[in-house]
Formats: sequence, structure tokens, C-alpha cells
Amino acid sequence: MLAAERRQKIKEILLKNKSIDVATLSKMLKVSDVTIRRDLDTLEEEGFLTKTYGGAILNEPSSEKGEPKYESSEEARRIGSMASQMVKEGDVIFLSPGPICLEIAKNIRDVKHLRVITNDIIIAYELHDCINVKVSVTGGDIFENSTVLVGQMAFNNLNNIFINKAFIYVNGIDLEHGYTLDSYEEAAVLNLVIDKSQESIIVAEHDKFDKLSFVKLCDLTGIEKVVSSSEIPEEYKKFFFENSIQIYAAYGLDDL
Amino acid sequence: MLLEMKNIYKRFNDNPVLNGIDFYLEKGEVRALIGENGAGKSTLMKILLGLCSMDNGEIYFDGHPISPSHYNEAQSLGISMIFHSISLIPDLSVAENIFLQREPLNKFRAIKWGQIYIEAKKYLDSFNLTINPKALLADLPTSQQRFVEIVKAVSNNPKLIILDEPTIGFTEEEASTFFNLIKKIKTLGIAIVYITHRLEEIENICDSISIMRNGLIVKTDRLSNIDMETLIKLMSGKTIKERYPKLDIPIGKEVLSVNNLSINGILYNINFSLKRGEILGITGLYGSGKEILSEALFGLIPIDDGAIVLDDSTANIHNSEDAVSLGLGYVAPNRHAESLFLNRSIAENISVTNLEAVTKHKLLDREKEFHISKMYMHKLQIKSPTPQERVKVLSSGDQKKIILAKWLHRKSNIMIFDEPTSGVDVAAKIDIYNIINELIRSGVSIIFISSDVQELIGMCDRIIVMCDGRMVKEFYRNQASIEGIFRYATGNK
Repeated sequence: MLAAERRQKIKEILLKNKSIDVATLSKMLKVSDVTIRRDLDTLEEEGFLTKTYGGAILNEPSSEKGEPKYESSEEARRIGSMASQMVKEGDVIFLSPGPICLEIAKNIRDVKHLRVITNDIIIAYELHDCINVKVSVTGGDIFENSTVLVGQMAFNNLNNIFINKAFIYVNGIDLEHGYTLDSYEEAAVLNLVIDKSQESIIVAEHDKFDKLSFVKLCDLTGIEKVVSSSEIPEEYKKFFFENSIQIYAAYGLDDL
Repeated sequence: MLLEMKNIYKRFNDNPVLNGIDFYLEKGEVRALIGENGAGKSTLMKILLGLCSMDNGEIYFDGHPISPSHYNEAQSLGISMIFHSISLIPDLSVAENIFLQREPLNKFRAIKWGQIYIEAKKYLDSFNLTINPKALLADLPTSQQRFVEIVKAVSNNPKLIILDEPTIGFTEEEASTFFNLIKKIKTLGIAIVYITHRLEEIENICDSISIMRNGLIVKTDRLSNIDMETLIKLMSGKTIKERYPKLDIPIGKEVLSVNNLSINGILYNINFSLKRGEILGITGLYGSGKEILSEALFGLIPIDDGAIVLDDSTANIHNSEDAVSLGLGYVAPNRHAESLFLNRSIAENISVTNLEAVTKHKLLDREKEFHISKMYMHKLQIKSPTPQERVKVLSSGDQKKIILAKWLHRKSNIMIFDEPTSGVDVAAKIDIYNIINELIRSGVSIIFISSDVQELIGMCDRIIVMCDGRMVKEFYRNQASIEGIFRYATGNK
């Protein structure tokens, strides 16, 4: 039996029994304890089960999974805090998926009459209990095990919406190739968002500069503002200023 | 008239690219051709060079109708183009590249090598370029290869050279060599069309400017008749405000008011107030009194009459120590006596405003001073390996940041910026604007004195205009314009 086949068997057994011990599994599948333990390690990494002493328990979808999280760096918090200053009472804003947009969400809970549209379930969840802010989700298909929504359903809903400020997190910013994202599906949704909004604001950590990702979103001059941190390369500061794009850099001087 | 392009139309697969262009050029004129990507600049030039056909229109060059169908034809008419990518042969020498296909021959039709190098050197020297004519082209940096390409073009005695974004990838030094080269070409009476998106370069070298948008020339004018704001508006429909990283933050209560401040014969009845988180711009021509006002506020010059009121109580500012202890900071111009101790270290310059913070048992704690300075250097991105470096050796942008650091260290809550961006490069300017943003976010109020009216319009909430020692006008952010400010600054109304 192939390893992949064996692991599939283990999954089936666990789904039926909810929990099982190593000895039973090794007997059922006619392989050694060591092999079983190795398989359980792999499946634990996949998030399918949790290992216990001598066995494993199924991670049930309904059970406490813990909140899905973005890795929010100090830099992302700094940038998010600065970008959130741009959100004003009465705005209709869009927040794209990404750690900086999540930070923006955390900082706008007190803004009155605010409407937030997002295609990221985590960001919607972050604001779900906030009285001041009305949250709408684009709808759509969940993209590859993420919390991001893409596809025709998202397009259809966005088509009827007016946005005045869109905050868009990108994975690459390059003088020649513009803003780039990891996937075609996400880029397609965000392209529509840029079209729909009065003002588009790119947010990214400094390490996204001089970097290419997979799919082009638009040229560097295709948006109005860029918010990043003090570490942005100098030639980009120059480029943006000379091309009339407002470039904001967060320094994080508040903790001095 | 050297060049007349009349009523030029061009479509690519049903997409109109040029919609009836009229483009005229005088002999020896240097014309900037600007516009956003896709405006049609390159297509227009390609038609002129015979690299692309036109659907409709007429071209006259030197008085004769022309319709070049390939590049060589255009070249023989006296039109050359320096393309974005180098079109020389890397394996040949500089001189061979310059004289390629028109090498001087002796009576046996053999190339006169000696003469090639002498001639090439003559050309290079006449442009003040220190490039060895025998060097292999591939061994030269890109910028020098581009210079060689231009020299080659000029050696053909053209009447018109077209340059497409020639300075991309140049350092500031290379760019300045390049501008000198262009000025030299200008003196030879050769006309130039200069395609660029860098507005700052235009001021350096061009006589006139044509702005393209969506396949049309929306404006052609002498450079002196057009200001940067109109230029940007015409290019993209954006106003100049949007170029500066202005951050709108809620403005708080009044923190400072200046009542009837006067210095005999210099300043007369200056009145203004400043609120928490506000950026107040002050401008005026040289001699308007704006610099003196900043020094007076900081106690460097005694006032004869009037009062400075801080947080509702009259402040007795007799000298700069008073000003500092009342929470004022003065970001002085770089060469000002109040700015920096140039022969001292970064660390000493930063800690000087707040020695208590780095003192232990009445002794200066050098280690603490070092660490605090290191932290400011990191926060403000000051590019120096160590806080022990002497300030003298730093760039003017970094020196400015050290002046900022010392007032951050002091935790001043009113900062007077006196010409903060003068003499620093664009990147350092952006840094200063963004540090100002961070300051107002943390509740600091800012008096921003500058001769750069554009940056004041871009960054300030209010702007005061001074003329002959008096405040002559106050503009709110949304009312300020370059023309309006200039009118008042020059004593008109």
C-alpha cells in the first residue's frame, strides 16, 4: 500500500471512530508502529488530527479550531495604523485580504457610519461585533483553503457597489511590472474593485518592493496612494512623487 | 520651422492612438514631450522616424514634404533617435561604434584607424566626456554607453534628435553630465524632442513643452508660461495637492497664539494661532520676514512688542533655552548655527536637547546615549554605520533627520520647521513629509516655514503669506493656490 493510500485509510478510520490508538492502526493496516506514527505526524501537520499519547483524535470541523490568523508583524501594525487614519466618518471602504488590511480593520472600530466591504472572511469576522461599522462580504467561492472569496459571485455583487476608498494588499511592487499578486483569481476581483472605487490605496510591507509575484494587478501609476513603512527603497519614493502618487511611510514614532 | 506634423491620425486594430495631432518644431528648439503611458508619444515619434505608418496626415521637414518608410530614410534626412535600449555594438570600440559604416578610408579603401581614434577623441572632448575612444563598448557602464550613442548621433550632423526617457537608471551625477551634454547639443543648433515622465528634468533643459493625453496634444507652450500645477493637471487631470502625502487628522484646541508680535523695522503686528495636530504654513519672498519670525518664536531674536501665548498663559521666551523648556523645537536650516554640531558625533547631537535622559548620577551615560541614538537612527532610517560617526560626513537629508531626532528626543510638542526640504533630495523630502505626518498623529503642532509654495499647499492645513514684515493673507487648505499666494507675497491683492 502506498503512503498516500494508507493515510487516506487512516483518515477514513478516524472520521468513523473520531479517535484511535497507534497499535490498532498498525494492526489494521499491517504496518509498523513507526510508520503509523510518521503518518500521524503528517496528518497532524495537515490539521486533520491531533496526536495524543499513543494515538490520535480527529479535528472536527465544528470543534474549536482557533481563529484563523494572519501573521501580523510590527511593521504591518505600523502601516495598518497609519492607513486607518485615512478612513473617515461616512466612508464606504473595501479591505482586501492581507495582514495590513486586518490591522486597518482593528483600528477603525470607532469610525461612525462606516461601511466596510471585504472579500476576506477573517476581516469580516474581525468587525462582526462592531456596532459602528456595517460589514458586507462580497460573497463568492472560497479560494484554496484560504479565507479569501473569489469568482463570479464576488464579481456580481461588486458590480452593484460604489466604494470610495479601497485598501489593497499586494505581494509585489516593481517599477517595471507594477503591482502583482499571487493568484489570478484574487487579481481579477481586486481589479474590479480598483475600477469601482473613487480612490485606491495600495498597502504593503517594505519587503514587497522590488519584488514580483505571479499576476499583474496594474501599473504603479494606476492607483492614487501607497502606504508602506519608512524602509521603502528611495527610488520608489522618487518615482511615486514624480508621478503624483501620494506615498505614505509609517515610522512608528509613537513608541519612542 | 524645422518640423511640421499636420493632422496626424493613427489607429491600431480599431483603437485610435493619435486623433489629429499637430506638432511643430522650430530649428534648434528643445521640446519636452510628456504624457502618461499610452498617451501616444512614442507612436507619434515612430511615425516621424518611419518606424510606423500613419493613417492620415502630412509631415514637412525643413520645408519639404516627407514620408519616411524606414529609419535609415529618416536618418538621412537628419532625424536621429536615441532609443530606450542601447543600439550600439558591444564588441566594438567606442570609436568604431561612432564611425560605424562611415569609417574614414585611405586611397586603398582601407580604414584609417589612427584617424578614427583621433576624430572620436575630438568629439568626446568637445562634449567634455572622459571616455577612452579605444575602450570596448561592453566595458563601459550603461550611462556612458548612452553618452557614446548620443555623440554618435550628433556626429552625423542631424537637425533633430529624439530622446526617449534617456535618464532612466542614471545616478544624479550621471544625469548632471547628461544635462550638460544636452546643453552642448543645443548650442550646435540641433533641435531635440525630449520624451520623459520626470517633470523635474524638463525645467533643466527644455525651452518648450507639449503635453499629450489620449492621442491629442492638449497644450504646447513656452516652459516659462506654464507652472508645475497646470502641467500635472493637464497630464492627468490631477491637482498638485495629491502629490504630497497629506494625512488628514482631527485638529485639536489652540496650543499657541502670537499676539501683535513686532520687531522694530522688521516685523509688524504678527497675529496667528496654532492648534494641536495642525500644520501651519508660513511663506513669503526673501526678505518678507518669515525667517526672522521663526527665530523670534524660538527666542533667538528678542521681540520689541507683543506676546507669545502658550496653552493660555503668556510665555516668557527670552532665549532658546526658554523656548525649549516650554516645549518648542526648532528644525533649523542645515547650515544654521542652531542646527548641528558638525564636528560632533550623531549621538552627541541627538542627546544635547535632553541630557537628563542620558545622565546617571550626574554623569553622562555614554552607553545609554549610544543606544538611544541607535534607536533614532533606526526609526528615522539614518544611513550611517554607527552613532559615533561625525555629523559632518552625512548627506544633507540625513543631517536633517538628526535635527529632527534631537527634537523627538526632547519630545517637543510645537515644532518650527524652517525650510526643512531645501537642499535635500526627493527621497529625503518624502521622508520629512512622512515624519511630519507621524508628529501630527502624536499630537505635535507644526509651524512650517518654506519658500516652496507647492509643498505648503500640499502639506499644510492653513497658510500665512508674509510681505515686507507683515502678514498679508491667510489661506485655508482648500483655498490656497500658487497664483493666489504669489499675488499676496509680491504685495498685490
